[in-house]
Amino acid sequence: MATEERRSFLRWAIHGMGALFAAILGFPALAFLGDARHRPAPNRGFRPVAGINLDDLKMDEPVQGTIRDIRTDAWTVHLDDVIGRVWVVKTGPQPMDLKVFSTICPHLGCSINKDPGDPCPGFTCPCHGGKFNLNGSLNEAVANNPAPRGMDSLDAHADPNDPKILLVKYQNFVQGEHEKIAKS
Amino acid sequence: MLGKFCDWLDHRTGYRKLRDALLIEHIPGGAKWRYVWGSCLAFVFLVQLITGVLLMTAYSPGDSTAWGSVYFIQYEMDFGWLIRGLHHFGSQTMVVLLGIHMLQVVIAGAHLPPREVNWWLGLCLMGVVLGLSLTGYLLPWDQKGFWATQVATNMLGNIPLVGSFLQKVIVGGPEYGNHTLTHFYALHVGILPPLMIVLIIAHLAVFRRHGVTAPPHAQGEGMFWPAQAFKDMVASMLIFGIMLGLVVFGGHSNPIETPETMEAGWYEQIAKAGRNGLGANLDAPADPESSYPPRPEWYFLFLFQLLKYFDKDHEIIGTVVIPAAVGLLLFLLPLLGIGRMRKFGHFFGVLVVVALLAGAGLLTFLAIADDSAEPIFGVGGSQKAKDLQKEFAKAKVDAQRAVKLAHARKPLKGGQIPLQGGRDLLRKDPLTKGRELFTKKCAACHNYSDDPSLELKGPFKASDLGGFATEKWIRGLLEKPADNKYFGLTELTGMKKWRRNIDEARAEWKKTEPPAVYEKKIAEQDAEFDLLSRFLADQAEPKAKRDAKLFDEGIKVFFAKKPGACSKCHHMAGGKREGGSEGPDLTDYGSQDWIRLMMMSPAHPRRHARNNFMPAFRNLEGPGADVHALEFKEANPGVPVLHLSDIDRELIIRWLTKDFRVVFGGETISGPPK
Repeated sequence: MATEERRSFLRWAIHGMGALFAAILGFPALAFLGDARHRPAPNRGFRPVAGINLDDLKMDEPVQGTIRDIRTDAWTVHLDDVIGRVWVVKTGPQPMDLKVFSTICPHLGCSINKDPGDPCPGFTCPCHGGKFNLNGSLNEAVANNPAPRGMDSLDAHADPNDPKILLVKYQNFVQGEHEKIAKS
Repeated sequence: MLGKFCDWLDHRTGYRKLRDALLIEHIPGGAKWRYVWGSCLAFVFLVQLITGVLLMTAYSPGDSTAWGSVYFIQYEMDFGWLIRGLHHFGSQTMVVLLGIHMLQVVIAGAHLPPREVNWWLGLCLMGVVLGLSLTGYLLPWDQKGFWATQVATNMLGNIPLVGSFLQKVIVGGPEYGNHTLTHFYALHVGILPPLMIVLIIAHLAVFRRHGVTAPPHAQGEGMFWPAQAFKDMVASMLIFGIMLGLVVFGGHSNPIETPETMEAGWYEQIAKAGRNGLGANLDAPADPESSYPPRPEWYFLFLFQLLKYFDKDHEIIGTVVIPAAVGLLLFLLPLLGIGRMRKFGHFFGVLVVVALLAGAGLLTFLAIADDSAEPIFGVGGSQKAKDLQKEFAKAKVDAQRAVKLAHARKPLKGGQIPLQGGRDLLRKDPLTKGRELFTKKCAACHNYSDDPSLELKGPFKASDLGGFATEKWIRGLLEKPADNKYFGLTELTGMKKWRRNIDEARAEWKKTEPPAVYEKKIAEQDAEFDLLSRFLADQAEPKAKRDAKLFDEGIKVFFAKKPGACSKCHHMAGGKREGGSEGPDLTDYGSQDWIRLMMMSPAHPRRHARNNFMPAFRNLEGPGADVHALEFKEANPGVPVLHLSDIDRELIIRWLTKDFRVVFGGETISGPPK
């Protein structure tokens, strides 16, 4: 074999082996880095809301409650952990005349506060000033409201065994979208 | 197109000049296979860097998180087994390659002037590689790394003057914990690898200054690119192949599933192959509470063996003096080849390195043979080695159990390790801890013949609880209550008397009845005892699972209106006994509730009452415990009370009843669903 041909072969062989190595290590490396794709958002059932007594709710006075459930975090299992918080607003005279919202802002995920005042005028996100009405809808009266949609409402009903207890199906939703899309 | 882009890039950066500087190197005598070792070391270091950074994305250095995160990498994450396995075997490959590289260097005389500095840089690199191995060994925070590294840091403490200070600083406190991990992690990923990179660059730069050490009469000349690079690449690929082979066929890991039980699909089978035993080993979570025979990784075994030859007063010779002397000797080697001593220096260098490698090899062999249950070339096979192998076997069982417990059960996704960390898996595991607690707390009086591996020796004072309250056990008790397995060793007399009456009645039948009638009566009576055994054994089951028909039949016999009926002495299922001696209430006999009352209050009217001679086991620690103890002692004068925590009691009960659900911290009774 001529010298130049031999050198050319060696170069190709070196690159070939390098590519083989990159593939053998590269594919598992990418799969490993993307492993989170196997861990979907949990599809939880209805859980009781701690801190809420349906008999004690008053009209237009938002109350915050916490929801606990089993929670897995990679290798750790939390048998009873807070998985989220909700705002509960009573909207009418019947026990289940109420709305339940996630406290997570649909803009970028900060925790929404209720506005001070009696009666409570609505909700504000302390991060970028997203404003919401008491019924959770986007406050259109505010200029440059950064929130893309109203507060995320959650499915809720009273516990059939104990009507004072509120059960909520807690979910997280994608931030920054105009539509309410559950995180997957 | 690509050419034009490269031209543009070169114009702006001048990268071709740098590339050429790296690749264009003259090799006197041409490319040789024996020059590949340095490049192979650099290649494996690259593999370590890549796999190391990948592992960093999923590892968490902390007392309660390290083991869990490594478990998750090994068993739950896609290809975690492969990446961790490559990293694990890569470190061992580096140590082997170091030995070969060093040997090749001294054989070629490449350590002699003017290449002294490069030899010293090489020695520094060797130190860094060994430092990386040592620090990495601890990071999984498993039993093996935890105990073996303790030995290493204790050796550090032997250094005169600064030893104990250094040890405390590196360990991050008086004992192993969070800061030991963060310190070792920082050394392993943040300090030693950059140092290694700097040293490699210096090593290469000095190497390039003097070139390869060609044989004295080398003919012709070759180039690094591509001739030597090709040989380096082929050797590196072969080594990579060997590493992959070790990961795939090494059989090091503890399997938790078989290919048949794993999720379908070829991708899952490969990506999660750690579950059927591929990749590096992960021992049980580090637990200072349990004993473990520490052994370092094989390449440090020679040092471990060396220490066996020095008593306490001279230990420092093995831990500090000899290693320091060897280091110094290696450091001085090139200086022995100055000027006219060159030939001697060359010969002596080969002699020293060969002697050191052979010595280390011999010590390694002796260390392995010493621990072997069977003699190897006449070494080992001692009783101590046999006992040690038993400890290793127990450690293996613990490791397998821990990963099985950590493995997520559907519908949970992810791991199942409590917040307290991996060690709580075994500490709250009835199968592991309940068994151990039985030997510590119960085996002073009770045998457990169902598990000979417990090696309980006695002398026992009470019944054998192997198979307690099973049909076989109860039937045996009815047949021979005076046997040592049952009440033979105790002062309990009720059942012994009952059986004596049965036997006397049978003797009477034999005398008075024709053989056929006698045999029929015996058979009928035995059938009743069989039924009672089945019925009583069924009481240990949860109520919903009990056999209703068996209950009706059993209750009839239990409360039969005839002499010798159980109800003469025992309450049962709400039915009162008729009098006679105070036998224990057999309601829910053998269930966890029944055993709990027996353990906590054996002299209770529903247990052995006045006939009792077992101490009560109660939680005597924590707030309020003294009040309970006082009340108990006043109500049960004469019954000794021994301490047994609530969790430990539940662990023993679950083990005895073969309910192996983990008892999680804080929640004594509850646990994840069966």
